[in-house]
Amino acid sequence: MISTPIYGAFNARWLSFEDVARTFVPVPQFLQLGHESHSVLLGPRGCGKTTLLKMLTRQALDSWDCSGRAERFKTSFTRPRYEAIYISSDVRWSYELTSLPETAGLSAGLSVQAQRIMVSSNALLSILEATQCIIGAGSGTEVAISASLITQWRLVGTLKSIADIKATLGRMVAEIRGHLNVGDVSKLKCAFDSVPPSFYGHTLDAPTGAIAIISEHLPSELRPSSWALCYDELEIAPPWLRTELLEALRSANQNVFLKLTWSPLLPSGLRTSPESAADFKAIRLWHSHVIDPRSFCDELTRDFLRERFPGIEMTPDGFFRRSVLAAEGDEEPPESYQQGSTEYEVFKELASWDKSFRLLLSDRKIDPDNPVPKSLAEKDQFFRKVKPVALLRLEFMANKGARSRKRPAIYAGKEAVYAMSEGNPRWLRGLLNDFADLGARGGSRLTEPLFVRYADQARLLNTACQRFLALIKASPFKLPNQHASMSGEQDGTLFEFVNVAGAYFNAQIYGREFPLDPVGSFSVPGNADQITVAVIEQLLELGGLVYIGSSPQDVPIAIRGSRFRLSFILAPIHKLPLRTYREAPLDDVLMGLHDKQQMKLF
Amino acid sequence: MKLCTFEQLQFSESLKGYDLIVTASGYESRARFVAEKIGHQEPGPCTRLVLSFAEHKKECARPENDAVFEGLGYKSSLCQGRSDAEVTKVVAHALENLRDVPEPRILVDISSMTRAWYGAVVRSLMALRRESKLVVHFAYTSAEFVPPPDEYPPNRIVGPLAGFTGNTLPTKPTALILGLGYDKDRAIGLKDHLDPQLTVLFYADPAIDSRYVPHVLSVNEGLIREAGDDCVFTYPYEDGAAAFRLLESVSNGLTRDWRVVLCSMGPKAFGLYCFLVASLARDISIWRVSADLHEVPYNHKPFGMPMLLQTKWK
Repeated sequence: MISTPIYGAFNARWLSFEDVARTFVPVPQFLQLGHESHSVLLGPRGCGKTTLLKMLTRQALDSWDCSGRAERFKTSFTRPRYEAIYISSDVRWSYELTSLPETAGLSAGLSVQAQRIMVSSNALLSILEATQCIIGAGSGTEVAISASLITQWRLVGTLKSIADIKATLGRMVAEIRGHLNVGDVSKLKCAFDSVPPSFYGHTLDAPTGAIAIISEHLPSELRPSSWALCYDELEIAPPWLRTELLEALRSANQNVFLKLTWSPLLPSGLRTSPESAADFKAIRLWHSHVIDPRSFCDELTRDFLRERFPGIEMTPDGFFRRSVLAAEGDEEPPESYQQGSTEYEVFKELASWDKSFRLLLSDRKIDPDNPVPKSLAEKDQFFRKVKPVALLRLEFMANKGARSRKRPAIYAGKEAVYAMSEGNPRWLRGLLNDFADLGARGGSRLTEPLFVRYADQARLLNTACQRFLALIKASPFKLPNQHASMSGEQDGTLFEFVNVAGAYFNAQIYGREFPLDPVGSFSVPGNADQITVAVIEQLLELGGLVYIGSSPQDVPIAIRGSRFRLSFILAPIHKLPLRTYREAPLDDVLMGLHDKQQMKLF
Repeated sequence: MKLCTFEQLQFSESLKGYDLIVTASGYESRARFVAEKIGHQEPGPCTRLVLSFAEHKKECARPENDAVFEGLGYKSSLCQGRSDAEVTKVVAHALENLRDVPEPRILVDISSMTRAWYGAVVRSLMALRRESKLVVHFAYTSAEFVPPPDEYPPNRIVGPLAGFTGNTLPTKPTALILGLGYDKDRAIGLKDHLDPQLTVLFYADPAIDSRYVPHVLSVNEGLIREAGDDCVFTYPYEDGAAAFRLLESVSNGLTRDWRVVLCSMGPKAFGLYCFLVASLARDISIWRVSADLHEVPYNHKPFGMPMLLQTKWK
């Protein structure tokens, strides 16, 4: 069995800028991000936020320009005019920063001071590294910049080189870290005394101060017209950091732009109302409907196959073939629903034992023993509409052994893979890699195009689904601040919410009556309690729930009043279709289980 | 104080002459195994402390454990399983009371302690300042084999433990060193949650009971394949010193280029090695995962002779 590294191996966070450029597939959102304005990238984990931020940097853009990849893609972009600084972060850093007050046993004031120093130092190290790239090594400019920074920050025992300033900052942080680990408050306070005050002032004080000094000393031919500070993982940063950077989006500083990442929910208090549209661009990186990410997925898959199997003409259609379950409209071959087609056989077989489906066909004057559309309109409005549910009911409600050997696995085929990836590049790359490993196993070099058997696709997609569920199970529910005293007592978990919702949607599909228009999403009422709202928000960030907006640009401003569906990657667990269906009130969804024990959870 | 030596002793030969004994009373009958072996035999003055869980007070073997500890003269302190603060306070106070003892000998039985608790014990030792050295024996009683559960409760707690947070700037990628247990997909879930760039796996082989190994391999199959042969290490369960040195060597080897996180989902002995390794290299972070109050109580019975690990602190 091949493992499914769908989350880790393709995380851009620790790829070099050059490697990020080497696998970058341009998306329209990158053009928006390149504008000279503040931006907030909104999306769940793995949706490509880090990749986009890193692609803004000089090193990545230089690499892109030299690679010739630009000619391959339809989407072209011009280089941003600003100098982008990527400021790294990761889950560990966020956890450690956030938990500092409890883990170090310090007062809130000292903890925040320590956090501020570390956050500033991290940003400054990134700025210094970018500066080294701009000016190269050993120039007089470096000496001038270094001398100014040493004076400004009152650094002692530091040579006039950027490398030495970085080393001094590293030592300063290490000292603070040492005192934090043993909770030595008096030594910690002493260490703080030697830190420049701007390091524990406003988040942007030290970085913008450094940028001003660097700009002042750069020769005009090297001096960027503006800069962009790209803060990654802001959505899981300590509250004060989030607040300060989000508030800074309102600033009128046209020399330093902020490029921030955030969860799929617009930060509270910030609205994309007409009057604030000039403040920042909210850039959405997820897809509400199954069809939306298809062209991006196709481009990424085509690029992957070209890189992975050089010299062999391989296409996504040949690699996966089509998905009977998830193909829509023009993706279906012309002979679909005609006698002899898979769809025809499915309808006919289901009608042979599913009385409600048979009745449904009869009511519409369709012969259950020969279910063929009489017109294009009937094909579009009825046959295509009921196809996914018919397929699923036949697959999962028929007696075992009755399943036709000719019918391919349900969760397989190009459109199913794309749907279950949700257009999330990290997930899709992980899946593609596994499919390719499986297809190429045996060690011999491929000489002709590869098709991954449907059964293998289904198995790997099921593994990916199980793995995503394990991630949800591993992710603890964080209580909203006002409920923190309930810590350890709260019953609800992200995992249980997903299971309750999945079971409700499952019941919609597999009831006694064939559902013509089943429920497949839910809307959150205005009076939903804060714990439920927090669960949904965290599942949204994880990618377990997906917001359904009125347009592909629509960004939710609140959980209450919004509509969501389960991620398609969870479909195999609950045997659900890969299509967005109508909504039900959340209360109905959460009451969907008759298990009293489950009902009291939310 | 700093850990300076680590070795393994024969359990039966060394259980005497302690100035302080710290143990825990929970719902497992193995909690009292070491205390019963020691019995009343201490000749000199010895402070006996039992950390009693504030939770599950009536479950499984708990009432019997409490009675045994009381009969053996242990002073009980009620502590929450998830919290290190109360344990730190109790242990720090007890260590302070040994200030006038020239080279005190301490026994800590971690068999039924949570990670937060024995982490707090190690942290208290690290924070202690004294002139003369300290000998600390850690005892661990294995549990009788039971097949892995079909399901495990979702995590309620994930994150670094107090005093073992590393707090390193994110200038290097994260490497996760994971001690494998046998809850299906629990390890891979944590790995995906933490999202490290490198994952290194440890599991006991040979284990205390040979039936553990196939289960560990089976429930972690995907993760083990993904890590690759170079990143999967086995350690001999019975040889604590070898296991500790292997973990220390791998951790130290990684710290130059990585920010190391240690997390144990396997035997508590491996969890103890993690704390001891992190006490020597303060950049290393230790994480815990737990369902907190929602772990299903199970009466783990003692199996074989306890492991006794001698550490010296200076």
